[in-house]
Amino acid sequence: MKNKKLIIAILFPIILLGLITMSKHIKYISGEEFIIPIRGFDPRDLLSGHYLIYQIDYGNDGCNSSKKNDVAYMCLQKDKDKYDSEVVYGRWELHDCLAYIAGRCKYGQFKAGIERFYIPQEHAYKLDRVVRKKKGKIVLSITKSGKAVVKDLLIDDLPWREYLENN
Amino acid sequence: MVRKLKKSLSEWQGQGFVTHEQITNIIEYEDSKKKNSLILMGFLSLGVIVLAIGVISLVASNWSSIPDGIKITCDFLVLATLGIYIYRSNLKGNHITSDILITLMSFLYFASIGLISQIYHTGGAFYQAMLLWLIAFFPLLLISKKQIFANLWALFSIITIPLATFSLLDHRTIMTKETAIMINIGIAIAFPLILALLASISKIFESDRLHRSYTFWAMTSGVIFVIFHDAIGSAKIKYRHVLDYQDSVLSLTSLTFIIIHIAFFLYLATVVLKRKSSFSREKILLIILTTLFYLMPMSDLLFSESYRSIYRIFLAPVNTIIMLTTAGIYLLCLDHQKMFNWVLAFIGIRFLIVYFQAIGSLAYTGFGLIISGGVILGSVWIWHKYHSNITGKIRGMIHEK
Repeated sequence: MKNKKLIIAILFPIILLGLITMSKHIKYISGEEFIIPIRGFDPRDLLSGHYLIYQIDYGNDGCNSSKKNDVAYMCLQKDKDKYDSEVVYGRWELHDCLAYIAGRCKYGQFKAGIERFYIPQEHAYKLDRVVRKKKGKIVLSITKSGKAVVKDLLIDDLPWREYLENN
Repeated sequence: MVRKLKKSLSEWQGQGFVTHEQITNIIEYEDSKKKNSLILMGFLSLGVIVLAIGVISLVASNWSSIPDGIKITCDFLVLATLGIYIYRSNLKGNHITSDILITLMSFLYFASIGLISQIYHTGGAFYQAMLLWLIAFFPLLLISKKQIFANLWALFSIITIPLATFSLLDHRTIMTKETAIMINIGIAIAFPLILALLASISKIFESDRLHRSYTFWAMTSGVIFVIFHDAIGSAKIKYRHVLDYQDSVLSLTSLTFIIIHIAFFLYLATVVLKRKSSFSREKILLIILTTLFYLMPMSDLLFSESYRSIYRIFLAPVNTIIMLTTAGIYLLCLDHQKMFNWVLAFIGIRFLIVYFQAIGSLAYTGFGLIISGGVILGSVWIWHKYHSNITGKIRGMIHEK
């Protein structure tokens, strides 16, 4: 009995971490892929440590500036080769969407926890420069429940590693 | 260490407890043991450090080229390996080793959370990672037999409380900024009471190690708050000019004080309702201490403007000295000698401040200084001569059945 408790106590944190990793990985592989342009959030602070922090250019006017931290959804609709999108505030408005991203409107900006990309320190400044030149796009995996995960960073429509090898 | 031992041995020889031959044998044995273990431990540590630096450098320089799958697999393998060693240490009864390994695993867990965040490009507030850590390691906390991990877990839980409450300032749809600030101030003032409540809850769940840790932090934060409160009062700075939301905060029914009321009454309930609920003198002392602490933040409200200066000059120092004395007596009962000494020092300093305030400008004269010096020396001499008797009698009174 005592051994069983010990084994459960030892396995619990590992299993918990495993479940969290699996849930993120399921979103990563099972979601539909979308490629959306990005732009620098603040030209002075594009980099935060080893993360590239950016704003996703959904191509709309963003949130209502009166919203301080409200739940919102970015409704994506395909229009030929690009996406039309708008911010909506109720789930009942999502039926016409090709896909949607669940997030929050914070002071006029839509945030969904996908506005950062980990990059190795040695490539940080080079990537920072190209993203400022608006050459960056982000590959998202979006599930049917609106959860989005960042899959890759594209520079000039090439995966960032490939871009750095060629340039 | 050997020098101290030699000194003790020579004293014992003087008392006739050990012979010269025995002393020689003991010192020879201790010297040889120490030399061997120091050299061995030195080389072992050097080897481990060099190996660890090599592994970390290799991993770090090739980090971006290592596939994510391999990173995660290795991470889980390391955690699983540590888990196996924790299990084996527990079976062998090596509880210190087990606790050290649990602590190491818990630090690696933070690194694992960081790794997953990096691979999936996710973020989140630091307090969320702390909460995950606290939940994940709670079962291991209950299993661990030594104080090491309990102290760490308690400390991290204490850090998480202010981090989580500060994050409320971001949630503007749930509450206004003013409300969030009032909650933060309430929790800051009630912090020692909250820690005392956690200590009490730990006792109810029979986690003595956690109880000891929380009690230590509750007493430490309580003493710091008492001194801070006294300093603010003595400097004649009114709370209401320090706080931006003065009128809304400084009312017995404000959110700030509701939090203080809840923390205090919940704590009182846990003390009264504990399983072995005999009203020991120790328990009564604890109730008095926490009640005095509870009344302290309200002191600025209980006295009208005209009486506030009287409060600051007379009642505030008396309140501080009573509180610190009660805390000191309680610390004696818990055998926290070092903390008791610190509290005693603070009581002494407070008495001195009162004394200098009382004699006023006389303190600056030669006569005044001579008397002051005499008072200080006399007090120290009396304490040095009689402290064993005094502390023994206090312990006896509290623990008397």
